[in-house]
Amino acid sequence: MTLEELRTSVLRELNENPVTPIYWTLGEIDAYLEEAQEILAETAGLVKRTFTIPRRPGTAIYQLPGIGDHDILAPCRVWVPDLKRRLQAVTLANLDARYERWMESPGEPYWWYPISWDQFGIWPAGGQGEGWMEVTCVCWPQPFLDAGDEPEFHPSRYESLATYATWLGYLKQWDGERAAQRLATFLGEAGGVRSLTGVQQVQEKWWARGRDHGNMRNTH
Amino acid sequence: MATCATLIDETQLLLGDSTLSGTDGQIWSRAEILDALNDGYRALLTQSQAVRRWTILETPPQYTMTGDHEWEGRFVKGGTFWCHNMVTEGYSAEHLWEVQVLEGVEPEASGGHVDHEWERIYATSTHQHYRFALPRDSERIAGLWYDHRRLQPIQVRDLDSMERHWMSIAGYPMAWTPGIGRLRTFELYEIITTDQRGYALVNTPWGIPRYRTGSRTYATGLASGDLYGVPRRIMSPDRQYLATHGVWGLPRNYHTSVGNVLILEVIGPEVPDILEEDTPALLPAQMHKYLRYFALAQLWNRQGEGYRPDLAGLCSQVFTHGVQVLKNLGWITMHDEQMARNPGRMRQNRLMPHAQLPSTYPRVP
Repeated sequence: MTLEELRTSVLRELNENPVTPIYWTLGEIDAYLEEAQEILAETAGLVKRTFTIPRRPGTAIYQLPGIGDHDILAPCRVWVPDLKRRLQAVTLANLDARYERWMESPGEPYWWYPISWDQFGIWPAGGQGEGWMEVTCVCWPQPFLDAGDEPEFHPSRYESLATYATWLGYLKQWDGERAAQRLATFLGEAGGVRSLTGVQQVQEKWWARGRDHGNMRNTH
Repeated sequence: MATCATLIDETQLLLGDSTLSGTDGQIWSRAEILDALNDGYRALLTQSQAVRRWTILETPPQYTMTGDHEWEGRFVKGGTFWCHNMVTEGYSAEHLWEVQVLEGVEPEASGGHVDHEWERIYATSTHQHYRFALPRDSERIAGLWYDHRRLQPIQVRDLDSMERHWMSIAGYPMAWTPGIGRLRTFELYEIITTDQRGYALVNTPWGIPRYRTGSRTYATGLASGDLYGVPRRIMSPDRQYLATHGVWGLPRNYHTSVGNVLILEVIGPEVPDILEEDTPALLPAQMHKYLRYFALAQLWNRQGEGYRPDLAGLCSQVFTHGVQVLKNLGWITMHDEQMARNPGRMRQNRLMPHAQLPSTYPRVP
């Protein structure tokens, strides 16, 4: 489904002319759909990108805008190609508990930790600064460029974008009842989209079954 | 990155209240919408706690202004302030013996008094608290290190029970406490009275440092070795130089965390409020839509014409969603957690199993 088709779907539901709408501009509808993309990406972590950056001498803290423009939501994997190593995610408190003066000890990186929404650190930080780092990030999607563009989601979930756009359309109409219904539908669909992004898209989650429905005590 | 004017235009479109972009609506003015956006900016920052900044405070602590009375603090104009004196009804005294004389109590020998913390090098003050002041936009301390050692927070009650003059015991800092002073200040236990500054601005405290000298080797990376000019990036294999108050502009001052207090602080919005031409730059541009939802909720919730609490409630719901998203981004390693689930039928009970005794087991009194 292209942007144009999505736009048509939204305008038809809002009882508008899909070619020459009166109460909305096409730019407004496109903005609604782009906002829907953003919220789906935030909720479900759909869009992933990998950025390759050099490990600079003495550098422990990396700022996300310096890695990949301004589209990064959060890093989700840090891989060091030259050491063939995935850094383990820890917290600052965890590092403080490991070693009192961890900030001062150089070496090959083994861990990464968050600092704020726009920066993270690696530890230990190399004094030599040789090598590279691949940072895989959950990102916001790119905006639509033309009417033929398709969203970067599963085609089965394109309708969620239209659902969100109609929520905003009804909001503009001050139609509280319909707006509430569309928003609830969208938030429900966003949960479904989330299920497609992780390991659950790969196979049945057999490992999640416990003994909740028949533990040993009940069977005695 | 969109300016507030764009956000106001978008809000007006959803309100259906303005026929011409850039003009006031019939019900809501642009100034009112801007106020609501400012409130949303503040709310999103403070509720999510996701925007954090490194701040280095050098020892001894410094203030924009110190004073003899608390009321003098209102003249600091956004800076930091600390009242060093003992202020009581009608007078302000520097030494304990002054209070004792004024109150008709037999005076006792008391230590010196300082107006600035660096003066402790010359005066031994026992009754004065050693306080650091945080920047005005500071919301909360997320982590505090002294000389790269994490200091744990401790209550004043615990310190009071340990030492009589805990506030002025010189040594090596072991803990920090919010203390008994103003908001956005804290104290160390124990204190450092010697000057620990790593970099000093020589001649004047204004302008851009153009020339650096010290015990290390400084180079521009140019063949000529010219040390003049404005540095845009500083690198060293020994340490990292970070732009701590934003990555824009020029470095005006240098600080070092060696031998000083390093703070990771949650910050709120800058003051004064943002204007139409400004950008809420502390947040990613994609999160600005939640400011619009906050504004819509506030505007539709206003009594009078245009009052629509049902729509306001829906917009509040989306704003709350945005707060949660940003809160999650603040602790981004959650995306890299290992799977917590165990293989099927291998999960352990949280409680230890009860002993299973036969029915014929004798009754235990």
